[in-house]
Amino acid sequence: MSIRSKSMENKIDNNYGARHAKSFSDLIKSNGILNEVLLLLKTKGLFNIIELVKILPIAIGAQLAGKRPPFFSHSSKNKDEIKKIFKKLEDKE
Amino acid sequence: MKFAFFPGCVSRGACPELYTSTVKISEILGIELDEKALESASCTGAGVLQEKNQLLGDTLNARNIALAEKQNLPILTICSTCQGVMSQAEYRLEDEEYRAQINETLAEEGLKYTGKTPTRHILWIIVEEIGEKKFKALVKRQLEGLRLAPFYGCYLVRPSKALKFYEKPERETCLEDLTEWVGATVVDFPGKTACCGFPIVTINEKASLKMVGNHTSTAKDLGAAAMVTPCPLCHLNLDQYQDRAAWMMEREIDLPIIHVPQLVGLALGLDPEELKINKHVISTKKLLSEISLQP
Repeated sequence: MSIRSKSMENKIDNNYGARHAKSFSDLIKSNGILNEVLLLLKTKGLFNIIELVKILPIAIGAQLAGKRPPFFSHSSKNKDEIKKIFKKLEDKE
Repeated sequence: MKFAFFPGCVSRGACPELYTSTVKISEILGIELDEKALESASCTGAGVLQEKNQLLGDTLNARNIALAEKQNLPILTICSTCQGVMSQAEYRLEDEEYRAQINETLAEEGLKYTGKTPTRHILWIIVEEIGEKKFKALVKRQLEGLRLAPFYGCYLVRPSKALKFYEKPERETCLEDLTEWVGATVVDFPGKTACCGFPIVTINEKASLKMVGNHTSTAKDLGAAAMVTPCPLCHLNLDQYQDRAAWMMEREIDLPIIHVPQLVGLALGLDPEELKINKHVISTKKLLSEISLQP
């Protein structure tokens, strides 16, 4: 288990690393595949205006180059089966 | 050659040019991509999921591979991270007891992982399956004089046991080999197998930028006109964050980062626009003019 996971287990979870790991897992669980926009927003914090302003130039650069990920990403065709696996195994380590 | 196509999340998100260029070169290379076989697949977990819960991550990857096995197809990936994470899962699944435990979960969906058809990155398929002779015969545009810095990143080089380097030693130098097959000159630099900094960009941006700056400026100073990578995550960090890294280092870098299928596509004679080579943050205009192609 990584240091990040250990710190999360010990409730040290109000930081970018912990939020990134949790959001990543939540997004796969709900959608099957990753939504890059939501992952970034959830990691930084939806109301963390300062951090969101800091990433704005990167987002604008990506938009201009045609590389901004879609807000509503693809999802797996069989999300329910993926959710079932999560439900069965997510508390097992 | 028919494969179950596993494009990964990023080629359908922040790197659509990788998806497009892969489809274009596959037509010429005789690679048939079945996009339907893995419509129900999930993200590999990219190592993040596995950090906390390896069993969950490995079960999702075994499920993805089992979906392809059901169609009697091997998986083709275009993302080093997807490939690396799947290879690591395959390696652990060689353990019979562990495989049986995971298959118990997969059986609820009518699936079974056998591991008979290992997943492979498109770079490996080109080098191992198509091979030098056949590939060179397809090259229509020799990229002579072009100086390229290969950048592997982490997942296609570590851990070498899971990536089966002992069975396929050519995997260790496949990117350099391909660069030479297209007629370009390899610019070797020490950071080519180091981390690009992507996994920590949202957590410690300063450290990540330092990594981007070091890799790209070293390659540039050694005379590279561009960097080529098999990993879309490395591409994203080295391309999108390069300007910020350059600003932090108080110097100019301006090094285009191209995907492996884009390099192959250029050599196969495809139009740069078809390969979406203009869809990068760092401009590729100078690079294209070096190989006498209009941007």
